[in-house]
Amino acid sequence: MAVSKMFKTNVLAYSTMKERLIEEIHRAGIIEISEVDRESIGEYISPEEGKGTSDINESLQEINKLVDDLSFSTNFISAYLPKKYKKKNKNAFISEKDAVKLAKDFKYNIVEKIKRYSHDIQQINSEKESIKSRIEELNPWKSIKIDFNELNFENVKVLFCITSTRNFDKLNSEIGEIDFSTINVITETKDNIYFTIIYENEKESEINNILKNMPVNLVDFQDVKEDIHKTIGEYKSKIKELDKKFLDITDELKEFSDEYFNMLIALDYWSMIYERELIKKKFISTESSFLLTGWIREKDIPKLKQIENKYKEIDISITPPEKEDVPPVALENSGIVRPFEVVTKLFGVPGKGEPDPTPLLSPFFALFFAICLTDAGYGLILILLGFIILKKSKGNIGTEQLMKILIIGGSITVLVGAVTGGWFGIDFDSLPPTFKAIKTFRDKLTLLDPLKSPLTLFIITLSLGILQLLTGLVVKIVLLLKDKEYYEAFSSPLPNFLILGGTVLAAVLKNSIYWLFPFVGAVIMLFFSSRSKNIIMRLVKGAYSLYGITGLFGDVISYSRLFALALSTGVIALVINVIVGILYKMIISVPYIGIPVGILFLFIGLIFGHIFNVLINSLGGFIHTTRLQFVEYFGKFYEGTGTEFKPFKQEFKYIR
Amino acid sequence: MTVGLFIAGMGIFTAVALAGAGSAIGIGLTGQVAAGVMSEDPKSFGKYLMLIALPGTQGIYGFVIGFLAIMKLGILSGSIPPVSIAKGLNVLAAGAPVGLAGLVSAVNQGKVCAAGIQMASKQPADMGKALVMGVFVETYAVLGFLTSFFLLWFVI
Repeated sequence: MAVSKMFKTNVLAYSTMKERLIEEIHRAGIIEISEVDRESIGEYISPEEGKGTSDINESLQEINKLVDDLSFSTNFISAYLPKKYKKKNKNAFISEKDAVKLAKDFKYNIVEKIKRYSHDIQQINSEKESIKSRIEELNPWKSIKIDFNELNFENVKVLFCITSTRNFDKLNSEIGEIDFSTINVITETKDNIYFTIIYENEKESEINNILKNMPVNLVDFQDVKEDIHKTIGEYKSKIKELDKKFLDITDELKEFSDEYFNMLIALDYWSMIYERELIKKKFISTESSFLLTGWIREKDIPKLKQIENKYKEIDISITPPEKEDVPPVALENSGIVRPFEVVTKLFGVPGKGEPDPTPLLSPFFALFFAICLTDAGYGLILILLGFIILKKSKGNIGTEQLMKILIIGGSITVLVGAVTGGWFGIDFDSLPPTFKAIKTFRDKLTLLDPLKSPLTLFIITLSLGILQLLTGLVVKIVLLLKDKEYYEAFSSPLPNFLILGGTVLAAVLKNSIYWLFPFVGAVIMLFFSSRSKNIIMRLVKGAYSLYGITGLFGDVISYSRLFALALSTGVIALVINVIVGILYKMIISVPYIGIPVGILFLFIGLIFGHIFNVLINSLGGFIHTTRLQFVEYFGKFYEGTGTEFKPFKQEFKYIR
Repeated sequence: MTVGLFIAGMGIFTAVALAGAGSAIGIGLTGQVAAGVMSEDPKSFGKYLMLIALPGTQGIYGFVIGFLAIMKLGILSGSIPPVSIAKGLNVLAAGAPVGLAGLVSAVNQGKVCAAGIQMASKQPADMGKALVMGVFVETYAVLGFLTSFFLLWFVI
């Protein structure tokens, strides 16, 4: 179906044209450049000749450093910029020609300057941290009100120690046994005890022996000149100094505000140059010429021909893939189906010989998603949300496609919601008679009220599931027939189709003659599932695949999740209305301020409540719908083992 | 409060509290892992949002059943409704499937999704697989919810 036809292309040209040609191809963005298969061209270019990558590596490193520096600088100063600059640059764009000029004229010493500033700031921060932690260390000792300069005695030493509460008693008793040594507790916390040990000089070795075997931290007060309070004060003023220094630097950084946008442009430009340099590694180059190979979509071939015509001495070959080649896969869908490529890509693009499942899944996806919500009002919210985000995220293809799915799904939700009578979960039966016209209008649209006849909706969801499963099986049969795998088609998807389809027919039409289909299916399965010549092996394997049909009916039950989600969305919507209603009645009964506050609450409560419900349930709806496609549907016919086509293409953030 | 109403209340409790507790544990698991992953890649919040929130649905299923029971019993009318013991037992039976299936599945879904977030952080292309694995666990919460719903809707 809609997988682009891929062609292999070889481009051979003179080295003198290399830069210009790379630029041209990069700009066109039509070729996925792959590593040249060295073996296949071995006859033409000897391996030594084909190397020549050392000079590429050098320039790569240089550009890489520049890109790193630029991205670091922009990241770094963006935190210090005045807010208006960020806002101003959010949607600013510049033409490519201007950008190149700008990037070339850009004064790169600015980057060096910014790097220096960031180094300064780092230093300030680390200095501040170390002072702060020193203050933390000193704080517990604050109650010592002595001049530390006078602590040097001739015969006596003072140690300042910290140990855990657990160890303190043991330490205390051991120290106490040494003559003329005392312990004074300075302060205690929950875990630690801060204390001093005073001892005579000659007892030093004994004390050391005890301390060695105990987890005791000795505190050093070398930096305390007089008393601790004063030192802490000095440190605090030092922190203030550092803070001021920091502010000075941030002020100076603001001067780079005007350069910020230019830096972003330069970053964009150099990232692109880096890519161009990096891609050269995949070429084979000699002194005089170079060769690149890659894949191109059929529809892009004229563009490549245009490039070929521009240059005289260039040789471009375009050949269809050979049998053993595995070309990359590009999906090609149009119109309303295209956004659903996101879902396919989430699973994996088609492998060799597989069709693109996107057109096959998109109607089911949109419908199932809608059933998970079943509320026309919620559908409208989704459409609105989709358009708003779509407008804001121009250029981001992934988000754009996702929002388009939201809009399509939302539209179908409106339809499904109208048919099931869901409008913001309003309970129309309890509306006051003034709204009777609305109620009759709603009732006219409503074909089925899930809360009044839940079983009907339950059966509908299962039927849709059966429809999807049968579709999957038919697709598999068609694919196998196309590949002339008649036996495969006959022995596996066909009996599954007969069993599932026949059971449904028999159950719906209540005519036992239709049980013939599942019976035939079962017989085929039993006898033909295996091609073994041994009849017993054949039957055993056949019975095993017959057992596998329990999985098929499990698949059908799996679709009941749609019903569950539909129900929970509807009930939560109802709950929001009921709870907000009860609270509203309570609030308006308060005298004087009751009525205005109540009305305000009514609006806020309903809006927030329903938006919450929409978000949480469209999230759930999206995930569960996706699962049904991937597991139940794709499981029947699709593997998705291909690799995506990723052309060598310019991608800018700020340049257009 | 009659004995019947009390038993019915236990059924509502089973549905809402057990399923809710499961979801709370499940999202706790996914949230922690996501926070760890985001510390390396701060911009990835939106990407993991689905995996983080997935174990939250069980709590919603439980609450829906609880609310429907409250509605069916007529508690919202403002007066205390007469509930027979048999009816109370019916509500208890109806609350159990979603409560138990929700509790166990939400916790385990949390584990699967947490692992999925880690996987997706290292292999961004495998996001879809991580989601599907998480939803595998959810199936059983859905079945519990449906059973509870039918018991509640057609028996009481």
